[in-house]
Amino acid sequence: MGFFHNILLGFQVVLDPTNLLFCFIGVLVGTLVGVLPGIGPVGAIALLLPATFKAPPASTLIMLAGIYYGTQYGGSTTSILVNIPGEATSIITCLDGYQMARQGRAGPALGIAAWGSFIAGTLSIVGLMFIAHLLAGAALRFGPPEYFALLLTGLIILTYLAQYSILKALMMAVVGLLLGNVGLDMMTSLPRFTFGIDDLTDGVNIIPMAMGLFGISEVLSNIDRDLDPHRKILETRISNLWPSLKDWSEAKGAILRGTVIGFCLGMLPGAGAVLSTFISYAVEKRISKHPERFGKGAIEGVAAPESANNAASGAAMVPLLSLGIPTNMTMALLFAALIIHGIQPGPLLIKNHPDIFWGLIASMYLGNVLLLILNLPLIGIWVKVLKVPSQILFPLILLFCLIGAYSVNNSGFDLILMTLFGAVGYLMRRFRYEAAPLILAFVIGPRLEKALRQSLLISQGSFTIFITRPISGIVLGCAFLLLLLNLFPYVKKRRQKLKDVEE
Amino acid sequence: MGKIISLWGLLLVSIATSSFAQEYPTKPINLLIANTPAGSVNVSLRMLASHVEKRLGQPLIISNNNAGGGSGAFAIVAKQRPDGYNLVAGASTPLVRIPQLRPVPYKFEDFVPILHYGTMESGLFVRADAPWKTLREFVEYAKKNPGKVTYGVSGTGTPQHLAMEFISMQEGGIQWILVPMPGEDNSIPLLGGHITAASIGSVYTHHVTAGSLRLLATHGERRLKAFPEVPTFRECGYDFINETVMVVAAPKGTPLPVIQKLDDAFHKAMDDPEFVKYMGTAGNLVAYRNHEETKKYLEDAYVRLGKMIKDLKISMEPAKK
Repeated sequence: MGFFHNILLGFQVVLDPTNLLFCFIGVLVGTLVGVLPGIGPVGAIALLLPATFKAPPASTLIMLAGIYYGTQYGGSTTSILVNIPGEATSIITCLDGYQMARQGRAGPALGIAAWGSFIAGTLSIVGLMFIAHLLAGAALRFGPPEYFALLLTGLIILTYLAQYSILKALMMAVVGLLLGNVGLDMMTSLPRFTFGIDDLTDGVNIIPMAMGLFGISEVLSNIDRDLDPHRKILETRISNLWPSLKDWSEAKGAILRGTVIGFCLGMLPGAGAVLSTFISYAVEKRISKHPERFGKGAIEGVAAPESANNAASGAAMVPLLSLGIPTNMTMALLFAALIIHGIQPGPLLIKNHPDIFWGLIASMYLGNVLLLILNLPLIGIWVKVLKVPSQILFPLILLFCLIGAYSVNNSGFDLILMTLFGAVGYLMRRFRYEAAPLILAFVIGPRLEKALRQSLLISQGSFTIFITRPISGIVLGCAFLLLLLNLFPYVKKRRQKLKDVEE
Repeated sequence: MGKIISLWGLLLVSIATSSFAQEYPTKPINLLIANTPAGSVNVSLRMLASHVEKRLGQPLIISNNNAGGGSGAFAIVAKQRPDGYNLVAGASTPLVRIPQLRPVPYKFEDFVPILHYGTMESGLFVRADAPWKTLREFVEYAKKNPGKVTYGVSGTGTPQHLAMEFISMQEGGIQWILVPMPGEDNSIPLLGGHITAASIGSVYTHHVTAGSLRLLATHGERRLKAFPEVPTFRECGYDFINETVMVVAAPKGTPLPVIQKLDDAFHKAMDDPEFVKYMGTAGNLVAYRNHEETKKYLEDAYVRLGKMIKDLKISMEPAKK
């Protein structure tokens, strides 16, 4: 009874014309922000926040949240079409999404991304509604040792990302770890590996780095191919606009698994959303019967991360709304928006302001439907982008990358970084070094280091802290098993070889 | 002859500057905020900005840059033209503290303060189910159980870190363990029970209201409005004050009339009831000092902090040769 009453209250709030309008503006801006590379939800919300000072609190929250989850819909668009990650959470989508587009399957890729986002988004709201308060407490039990165990597992999963050579993938991971070390040391607050460059004090920014490694290097290698007189013209015939039944049967499991992974990791503070896209991709590749299809246009490789990032965005609301803990920068902005209106986020929020909580939940249902309606017709338009001749498209891509990279921090240095990584990325392609392990290691590295050092501080240097604490012990055990599973095929092969030699 | 020319010159310059101040501003003013978009300095400044714009008749073009804990923004503005169209705002940290901890490409003297409009409050938190009701009890426990107490701070060398080191020094050395938690929500490890205490910003006081944390003492000059029963460090016998203020500044050489005009515009904007309400909910205090007082205040704070960093032996990078 109480529950239906609450949901009814929520829809009453959101169906108020003003709130409806705010919800629509939110998801529309979110989609745009997602499509535009560089500018992310943080920038957009920061820009719009002052405009909401005078608006009612429920409307404000509905709109700002709309921007946040709307971004996850749009983020995949440029990843798929032109190999530029629109957001950090869509980096991994480049791998298979762009390959699908090159095979003339941009339509199904965009379609499955939109549907996956919708399904994951809706499921995560259900999760937010029913199990939020149960899970929120669990998120708090993740202290530094638990993070360390989780991130270590992430590093092991990294090996699944390798497409060509596992050795080269590991080399790239080391480069990623080294790059992740740049910036202020967590213990002393003193700069490390910045070489006196003040712009590196906060480390290397992931957005210009990913844009360079994927987008710019793609343009460069295409020019390279154009210079080659024997090049084969890649005919992008657009086969069909919608995912076929076969696509659906391949992707449905990936969507559901992506949702679960995204939801669980999305609740954790830090880079939960980004990490969940990588992990869901790696999981799909691991359990697939044809892992060799990944990186060559497997639809699961788009469906899983795109579902994961949407589920993560819903899950990130859990700690904010039930505990008053913002787990990422966007949540911190929503937190600030609440405070501006004199509302204290925290366990008392649901009780004291049921209209805001349930209004937000109802608006997220509605927003996801709006996003689907908004995004599906857009696919037809996006696909036409691919028909733009390359001598026009490539300069445009470069321009968008430049604007995007600059807009993240208003920093000219980021442009230099992007160009540099573009050149490096081009060379990496030539010699078949992959960018995905580098970026995953870059994301994990600094967090792993922080968790390790914090844990050892707490335990006063004793490594037993990782085993004696139940969650971290279990996770580390799983990581160890994963490692063994990885080694097993090699050992078997070796044995077989030895046997062959003996015989 | 030469004397006459220089007199004429002086006259011309004085006319030029006075008419300049009357006209100022004739174009939009750039304001770089050394704070994240979600930070309370950013939000409060954007609230003030709309009123300042109305008063000055020119828009403020606001951007954020939080690189290096705020030092990035100050480094940029230090090199900009001192014509009143380039301003920087943020916590006073990058002005008075960071240059004493690590090398930065600017000096405290490169800036002229315009005003400070608020103080950043902080305090010592423990979990609500912890046995210690007062700071005294907590310190006694820590003294009797060396190596058992872990405390989190947002970073090494922050006032919250110095506060703990200060207690330790005054008590003749307490063995408690510092756990820096940069770049994350500082309340999580304490809420989850992974550390014993946290010396963090008063933005986390909503966990006290919600009943999950307890505030033992605050670092400010005055008690927090929302928690009048919680004593300050000074009242507990530790002569430590977190002197971080929210400051607006311009590059050195910005004409005084311009500074005065900006000071006045921002000061009047502080009457906005929504701004006052926000500052309270965000756990900060509204506090004004004009450009002259702020300069003096920051200069004193610079000296005091430098002495404290030296006395407490906070790690510092070896000076460049």
